[in-house]
Amino acid sequence: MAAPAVRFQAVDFRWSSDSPLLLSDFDLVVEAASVTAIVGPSGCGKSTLLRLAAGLVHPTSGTVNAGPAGAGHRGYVFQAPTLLPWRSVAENVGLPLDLVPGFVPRERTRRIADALRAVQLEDAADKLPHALSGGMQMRASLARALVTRPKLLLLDEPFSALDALTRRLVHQQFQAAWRAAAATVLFVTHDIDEAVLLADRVVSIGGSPLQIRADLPIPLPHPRTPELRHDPALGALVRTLEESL
Amino acid sequence: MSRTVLLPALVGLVVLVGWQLLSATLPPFLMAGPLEVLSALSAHAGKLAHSAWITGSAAVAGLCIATLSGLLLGGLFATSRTAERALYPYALLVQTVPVIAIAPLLVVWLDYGWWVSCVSAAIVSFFPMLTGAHVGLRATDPDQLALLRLYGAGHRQQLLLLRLPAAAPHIFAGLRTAGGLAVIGAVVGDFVGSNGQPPSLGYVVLKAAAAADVARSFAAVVVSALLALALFGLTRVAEHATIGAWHGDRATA
Repeated sequence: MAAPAVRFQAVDFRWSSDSPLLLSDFDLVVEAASVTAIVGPSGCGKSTLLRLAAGLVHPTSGTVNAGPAGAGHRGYVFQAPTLLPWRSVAENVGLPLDLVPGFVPRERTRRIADALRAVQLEDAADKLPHALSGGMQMRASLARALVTRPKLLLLDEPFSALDALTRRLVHQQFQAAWRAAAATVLFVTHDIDEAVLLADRVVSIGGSPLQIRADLPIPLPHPRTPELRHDPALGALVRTLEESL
Repeated sequence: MSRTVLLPALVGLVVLVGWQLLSATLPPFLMAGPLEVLSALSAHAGKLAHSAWITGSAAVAGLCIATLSGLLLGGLFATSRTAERALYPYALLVQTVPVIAIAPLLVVWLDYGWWVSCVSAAIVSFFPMLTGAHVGLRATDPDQLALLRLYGAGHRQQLLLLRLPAAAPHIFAGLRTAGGLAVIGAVVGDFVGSNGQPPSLGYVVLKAAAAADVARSFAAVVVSALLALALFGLTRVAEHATIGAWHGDRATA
């Protein structure tokens, strides 16, 4: 069994001293090189789990171990593309390299080209973000997360703003990109179908403080195509998760 | 020609003709028509250009002082709540005190001349710059900020890579307002603090009016308005050149 990539251990978390506990004695282990989806109702605290894993917020007590901090070991894709509108797509993708020391210009250019190729955005490199569709912007956001070749990829409802058709296309492109990157992927979504379709494991959470309601391995082969949605096995897994919520 | 050009041109023509007809019914020491103003502009072009340079340079220098101090204080407010709480009421005070009331004191402190107009321009254009910088630097997208923090960006990198560019549209909005106000401030400074050495625009307006040379007074007013328009236009050009590609009409087209 591979070593865990992310470990939440007896984590308590509250936003401020006078706010209620969001997490109480919370434990979760995410295996390395796996794709884990966290599903739960809107506003239950899914994104907080990701922010804890990213080190953007810190637990009130307990520990969150997600490997080395900084230096591009973690990639993060937000719910919105969060591209800087004044930078070209290539410059947006290269932004983390400007902040992580030790990249010579030639290596920087190569990394950006590789990341853009991984999400099939080579032709949009010189465009400004506003010239891209919503799906393309999300792919650029993924390329930016991949450019440092992170060991851990954290995705916060990255498909929620896309229309159904674009979402299917981007699902395929995201799967191909993160498989090629061989990273551990932890993503949150409120769409159970999407979670089962993309992940190796789905963790259903809810309640206050947050609790794990179901923890389900998804024994379906990769790559997962949109046609898999009609597979009875997938349907059964979705129903199990729906019942847990 | 589109209606957006034709309609204002038509209104302008009607106003000019009405103004000319009205001025014909009044004695010349009370009112000058557009043709007389045009004639005065032409007759005193050299002297008016010199006056425009004096007042314009005071307005631009005052605007530069206001821009620099507005950005510095706005930056301080955006990074320190304590500084904002302690100093904001006094910044507001600068905005609420009429410049015409301060101008005589400026003469006491700075003596008659160009500096009174310059400082007067800086005082009136300071607040829009402060507000633009303050609001702009506070308007940074929290997720974009989180992204930079994730990659270990320090305060300086956050400022240069994100907060300052993101604030640019607000800062330019402040600059557009401040540009027009700077000319008003400089002319008010001229009224109170100019003794004709050198002959600034405000001085020419007062002097010509006192001499019942209404056409020349109007001509100086027209030059002041053109000065404000020129500053506004320059700001728009700078805005278009620096952020136009990603902000505004071109970015949303």
